[in-house]
Amino acid sequence: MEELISVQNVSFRYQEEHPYVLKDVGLSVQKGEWLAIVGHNGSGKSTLARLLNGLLLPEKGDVLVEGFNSRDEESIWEIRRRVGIVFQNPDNQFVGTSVQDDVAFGLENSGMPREKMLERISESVKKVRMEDFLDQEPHRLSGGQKQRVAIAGIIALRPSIVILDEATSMLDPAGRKEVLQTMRELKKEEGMTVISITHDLEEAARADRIIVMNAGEVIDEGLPVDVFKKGDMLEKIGLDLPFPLQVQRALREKGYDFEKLTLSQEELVNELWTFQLKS
Amino acid sequence: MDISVKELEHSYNRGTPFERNALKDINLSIPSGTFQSIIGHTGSGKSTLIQHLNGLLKPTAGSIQIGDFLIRAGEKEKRLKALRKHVGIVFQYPEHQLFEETIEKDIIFGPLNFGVPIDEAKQRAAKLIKQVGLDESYLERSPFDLSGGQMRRVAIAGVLAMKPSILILDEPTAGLDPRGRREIMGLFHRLHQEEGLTTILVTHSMEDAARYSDNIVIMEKGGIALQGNAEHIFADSDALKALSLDVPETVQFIHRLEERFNRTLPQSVFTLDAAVDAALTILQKEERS
Repeated sequence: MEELISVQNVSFRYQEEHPYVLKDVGLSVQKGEWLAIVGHNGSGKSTLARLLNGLLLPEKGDVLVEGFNSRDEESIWEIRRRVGIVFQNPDNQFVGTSVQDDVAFGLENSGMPREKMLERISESVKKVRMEDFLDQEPHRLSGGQKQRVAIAGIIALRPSIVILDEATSMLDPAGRKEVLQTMRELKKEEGMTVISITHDLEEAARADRIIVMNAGEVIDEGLPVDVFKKGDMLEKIGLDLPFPLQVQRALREKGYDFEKLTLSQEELVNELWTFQLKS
Repeated sequence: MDISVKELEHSYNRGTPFERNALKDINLSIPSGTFQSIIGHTGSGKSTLIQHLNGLLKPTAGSIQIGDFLIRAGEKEKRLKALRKHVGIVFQYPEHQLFEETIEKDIIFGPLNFGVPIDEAKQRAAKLIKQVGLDESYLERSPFDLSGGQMRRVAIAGVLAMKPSILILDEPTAGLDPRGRREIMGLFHRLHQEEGLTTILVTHSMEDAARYSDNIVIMEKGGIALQGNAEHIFADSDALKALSLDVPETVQFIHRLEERFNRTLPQSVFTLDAAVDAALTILQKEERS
């Protein structure tokens, strides 16, 4: 495994004399993984995202992206080119007057020749399946479509990491599926590394790895099955268990012991089936 | 106050090349004291519909009767201000609308505007701040030093301070963490019961709609595609799928159990406990047989 991001003993606060929003945070992000970061509102997740691409700088500790330190002024553009963020509100990040213009924005800023730019635009727009909408104005697009355009704008710059900062929380269920599906394809086909900051625990259950934040600290980290074993801890810090695990836990309290933790309904029904075969 | 919407139609930019029909042929009756959910994709007309319920938008055809207020296309209802006192709307991300120096001032702004004496408005604020889960010490603080979830509670208190008898909630839990979501929905459920409110919830959560509603309306392209109680709405998962909507996860679970175990199970399962009970009946029966 190749480490893309290394966060070392990072503390951060927005103003002096204000409490720390992040306290001695350490974590690493591996190439090609889907990392979910979960935590209650105000636990420091979004602040962390902004530290990962140099929008914010740590007060203490270091953030290294492919070896570039965000404290180093000359590195900051290297970092921002490598780490793209899709934010929560689809309307706040659409800067162009059409899909094409919007995707071009970042490329223009990077001073790319026109020919190459057009090529990149058409390539990225295809990857998020928005090629039929090139000349559409933003207000004719749904929230999910706008977020996919935001993703296209980011991948046009060929980053190694895309951060979704609650990028689906303002979308309806169809829009949410659309965006996640797009990101899963990019991960699979392009080997994109994805960091997803989310309240959606069903989504987190499908990640390769989960990091749990509480009050500015990383309090747990591991495979979804291992993190979700600690249901009581998650509930104590204001999170929930995915539905299949809640059912399983309630059944366990009634004396039905399962071998396997089931993260999906399908697994749960299978487990119930195995259980009644044995009894 | 009963609500009765008849043949409501609304088009934006009427008479211009940009004319767009946002609502058509809406017929809906919401009896006083009931909990009504409205579900539908973005752009299906939900927000346009609720803005008619306190006169923010006027119908281009049809009528809306709320208690003895009547809003009809082409006519002026002169008592809109009085109507708005009865109908409180918690808009999406209501925390964006906070503006006062202190939380107390923000909460009493609405009541003062409607002529409530300042002492009474302050009493309401003191009571409401606790009802939304914060304590009185917050009243003197600036709303802008709060977390997003707390700001939302303050904004909700500001709407409740008008003592509406009809409370309209436009995706009140969007962007909150799971505990925040549970607490806010718990608050609205309690208020609904204790204050005898008529509650109208616009939501994407099938689970919330199933759990709390007396009636559910599903909107599609500006019209009503389905309406009825949760049992009725979620009995036909194919109809929902055709509208690209899901059934609640409890209902999905029941369907999966039925299929796998080739059994018929109770259908209106909308809570975790009921889902667990269904799983238990299967495990127990299979053990005995």
